[in-house]
Amino acid sequence: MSWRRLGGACVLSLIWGSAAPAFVADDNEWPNGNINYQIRLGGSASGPLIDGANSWTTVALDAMAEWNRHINDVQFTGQEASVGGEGQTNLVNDLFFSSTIYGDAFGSQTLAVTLSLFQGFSQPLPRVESDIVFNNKSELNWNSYRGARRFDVDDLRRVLIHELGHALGLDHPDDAGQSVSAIMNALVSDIDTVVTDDILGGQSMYGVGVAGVPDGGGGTPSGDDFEDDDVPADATTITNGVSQTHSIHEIGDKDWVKFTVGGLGAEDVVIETTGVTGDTEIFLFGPDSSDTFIDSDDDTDRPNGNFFSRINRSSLGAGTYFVRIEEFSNNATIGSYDITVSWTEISPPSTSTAKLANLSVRAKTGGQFGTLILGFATSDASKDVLVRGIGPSLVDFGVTGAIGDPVARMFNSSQVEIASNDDWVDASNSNEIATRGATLGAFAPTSGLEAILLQNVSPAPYTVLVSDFQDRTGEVLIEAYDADSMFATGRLVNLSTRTEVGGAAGTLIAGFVISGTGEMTLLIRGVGPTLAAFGVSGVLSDPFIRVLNASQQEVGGNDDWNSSGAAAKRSATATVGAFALQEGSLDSALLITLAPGAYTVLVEGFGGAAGNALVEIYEVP
Amino acid sequence: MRILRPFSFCFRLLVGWGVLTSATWATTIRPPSFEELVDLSGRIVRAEVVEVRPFEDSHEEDRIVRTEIILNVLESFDGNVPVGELRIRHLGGEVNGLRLEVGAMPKFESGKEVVLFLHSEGRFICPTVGWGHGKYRVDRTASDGVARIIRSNGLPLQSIAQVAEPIHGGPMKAQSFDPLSQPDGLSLAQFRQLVSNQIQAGRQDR
Repeated sequence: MSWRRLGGACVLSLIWGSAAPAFVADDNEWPNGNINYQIRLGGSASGPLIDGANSWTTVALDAMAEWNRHINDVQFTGQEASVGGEGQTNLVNDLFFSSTIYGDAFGSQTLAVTLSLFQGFSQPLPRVESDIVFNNKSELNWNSYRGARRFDVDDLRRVLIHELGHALGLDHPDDAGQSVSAIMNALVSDIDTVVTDDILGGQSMYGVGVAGVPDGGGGTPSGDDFEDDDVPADATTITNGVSQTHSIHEIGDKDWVKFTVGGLGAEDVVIETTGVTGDTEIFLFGPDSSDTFIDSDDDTDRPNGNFFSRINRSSLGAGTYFVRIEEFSNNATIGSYDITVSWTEISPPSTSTAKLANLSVRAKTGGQFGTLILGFATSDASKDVLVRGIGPSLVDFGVTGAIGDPVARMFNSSQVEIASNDDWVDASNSNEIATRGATLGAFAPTSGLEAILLQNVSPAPYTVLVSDFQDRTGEVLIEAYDADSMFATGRLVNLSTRTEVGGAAGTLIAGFVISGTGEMTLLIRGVGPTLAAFGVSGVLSDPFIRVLNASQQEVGGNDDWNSSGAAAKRSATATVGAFALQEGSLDSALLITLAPGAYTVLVEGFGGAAGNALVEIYEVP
Repeated sequence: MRILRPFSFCFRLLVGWGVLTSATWATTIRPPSFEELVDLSGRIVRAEVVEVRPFEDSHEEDRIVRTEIILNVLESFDGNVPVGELRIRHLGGEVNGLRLEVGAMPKFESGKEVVLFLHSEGRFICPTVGWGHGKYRVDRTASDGVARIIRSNGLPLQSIAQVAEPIHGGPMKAQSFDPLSQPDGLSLAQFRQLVSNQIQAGRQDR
């Protein structure tokens, strides 16, 4: 028969409110006094341990002390003893490494075992011995450290604290179906010492030690200096760049902070938690609302073992924003963590704010046309770009022959793939893609099979390859959007694509959108003959370009680039870093200044010629 | 057409298993993944627990209590275990005023039907691989009459990825989408097939 106390008692649960204990305690207690261990761990470790301890005996005594200060009726004691003197039922508590448990194999998955012996003539049988055996197989890498659990090192100290809890008579609260933060849970976690539920369990059997009743064990939880801040109305104002120290002082605690961005908004916004031990998740809401969700983070960009959180936003508009901080699973406390919010206020632009907001190209991909490749470049600062490969949704615009299932792959200038997507609805950030797309005015795709990437990129050139998942040939629209606010520093500065023009391929159609105010100058080129110098065969012998505005009115065009304004075009070419066109070639180039709006560039072969052509659109600063 | 393609299917499964496996170590036991559970098992059987019998092991120098579980094997998934009686033992139990307790040792109950993932023959502290993670009860009380697989915590095993979860089955970090998840729990037939698939995959790997 098993004699257990689960979670103390119902009466205690009511007193403790939301922090109801979940410990599982045996009724077979030790008699008052010392629980003495023969520590047969071999004394010195092979080298200094991570926490600075130089012997396993020190680690063991330290683990015992963790319990001792919280309980009263019994105390763990121990002394170093010779290796190999252990006995299974000799009424001596032994703590040792072994490859077996008194001759029984551990099994491949077992790290440590506590064997407890009960002997007597009346129930409950009194506890008379508890041996703790650590598996010493070579695959285990025993050490001693604090903080977040490391995947390549097994922390003997926290495992021993857990096993000593078994020796006291505590069981796994999680195996009993209860969800609570505890080192007595069956799972090793970031918890490296006894916490409230463990302490309450020990104290239920052996009374309150010198450390007293833990927070959460009675009365009103104290929390940090900013409590009560559990709801948005009580959010603490946090100053740009000034950290605040908070805690998740009880299971389910939530902390709210708020900050206000003025003027034209903020850029390079970083919201992060830091600390020694804990696993936070943060949520950003706003502007001027604690309900409008913007972003969240667990610990996605943190190295192994760091479970704190960080949200990076390239920009935020003016307004008040709210941040909610939680323990990741809402099943543990965090003794202390820092929250910091920093940003750079956006200064008012002194001149034109016009910039390229969107670049796109529609052409055939696959088969004889090869994979359609879009190149684009960003400058000045890192920025979010939304890149879309649209196929099946084109039917909504009367386009026939589109590919059915686009796949987009993005490469950096070193030809390293940095992102890819097949079906955008399967992307982990599909909600953000939909939200950002709507904000940018991109038409909503009516098919989940479209390929869409939302990517933060540093200033550099990039290429996007779009093909059909089943290698079908057809029309596809590739778009690259500036996905930041209009006041963000980063800019889209270039678009290029090379593909077949004329004949079955038809007209090469590229589009761009200028946002902001004022005007901007663009260098637009349709390159054919000069491509031969780069080894391209079958080039379009005589391209010509036309630029149409949103009303389909032609606002500019060119056949042969040096037929007019050649000097200015040469200068602009050098300024933007484009390759020089061959003097006297039939390539086309246009230097044009435009107001904000949507424009289309058409590249065709003069006289119906067909061939390979490159279209480029450069912002000329 | 949105189809679950072989690559993404396998990728998700692998990611899910990897996260679940690597992120959750038991203090005494590292929960095995389903693949590990099958691969590490020398014998996998469905059986009825006939008797649970603690005894004092007279072969030991010290007074040792072990518990013998007498099984009636109904079916062998792997290991060619003959149908009929099979006896397994674990360390611990209570007899004659002496109780030896081993933390996290799975409990057996007479009359229950179980699926067990057993070590090859030998003297293990517990005969099931991954201890509680290697013992599942077969529940035949569902209203739809389907025999389902129940974990040691009494909750249905909803997917094989759950094998590596803590016994209580509570919330875990980085839960991944699992296309094989069954809200009502895996049926015995589904579980048998998944075990069979893994056995075949393991043999191919070897």
